[in-house]
Amino acid sequence: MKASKGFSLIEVLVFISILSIFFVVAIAVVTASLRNMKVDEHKILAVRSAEELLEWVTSEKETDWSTFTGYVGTYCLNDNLGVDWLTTFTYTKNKSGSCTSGEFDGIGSTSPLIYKRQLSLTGIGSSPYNRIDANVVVSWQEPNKTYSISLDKTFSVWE
Amino acid sequence: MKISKSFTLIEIIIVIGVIGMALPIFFTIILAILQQQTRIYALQEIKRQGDGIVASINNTIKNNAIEIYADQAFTTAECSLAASSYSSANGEDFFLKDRLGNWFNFHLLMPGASMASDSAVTHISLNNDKVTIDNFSISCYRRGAYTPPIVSLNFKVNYGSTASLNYKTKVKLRSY
Repeated sequence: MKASKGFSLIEVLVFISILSIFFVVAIAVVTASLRNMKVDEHKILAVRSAEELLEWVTSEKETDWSTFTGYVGTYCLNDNLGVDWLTTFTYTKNKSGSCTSGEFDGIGSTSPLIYKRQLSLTGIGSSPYNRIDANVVVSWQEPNKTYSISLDKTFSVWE
Repeated sequence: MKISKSFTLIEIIIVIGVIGMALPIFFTIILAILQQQTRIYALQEIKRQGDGIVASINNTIKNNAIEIYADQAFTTAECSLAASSYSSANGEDFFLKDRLGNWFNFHLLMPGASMASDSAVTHISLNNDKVTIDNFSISCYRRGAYTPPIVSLNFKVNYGSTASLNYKTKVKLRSY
């Protein structure tokens, strides 16, 4: 009787290639899901910073409506929010006007530095306004894509 | 009949070497996934609880508060005059009066612990023990004689040292 034969080269090659296809697919799935989880984490922070800004705008509206109507315009608020409108603009990364295309400074200089946050206040009707629409857009950069979320709120003097 | 051949030392060394390279990579990936999940869970938890606390405090103050005092017996009124302000570091000496003349307040139980909403008959913890709260302060401001006082609140919600979020809110005393 002949001694039991081992695998042939072809058999080993087929096995190894099937195994490597499996591993490549598995690693691709794992990295994709890790990337998605990272995006989710960043989205939670983005929503929080947009809500923080809307909350702050609400507080400015609560403080005094007629002063608030004077703030109609577009602002890039990438830094902390001060106790009121004036102190907010003493921070270096807060300014009047839109955020520029590259301005991903991060919110309040806290990690991760991938966000930019823009506020638009639009007066409805003619001045003096009795309704102002606010829109906050937070955009952030992932390695291969730019994401953004947008929140809206309407303020009115009769509220 | 020839005896069946066993593995040689070289073959065993190579196999162990390959396993030795593959296992650390495998465990690194598993660890990365677990860490990421923990971070997301922590963020969701602090955001959920922070949002809940802000909503509950906002509604309670907006719907019930009529005046602000520095003491439970309502002897020292605060923010009742125009352009006056008052602040309390942990909320222990910041009392709100409701329409029925009862007091309620919001304060930090212990530094870095939890936040509570108290009145003469209730004691409600505003967060569960998964998160801790610090940097709490509550203050009020009244701009003019014809506008109601505004209460502002700051606090920070932490999930261990994994994640933390700052919360800030202002609310006007509607029933003033």
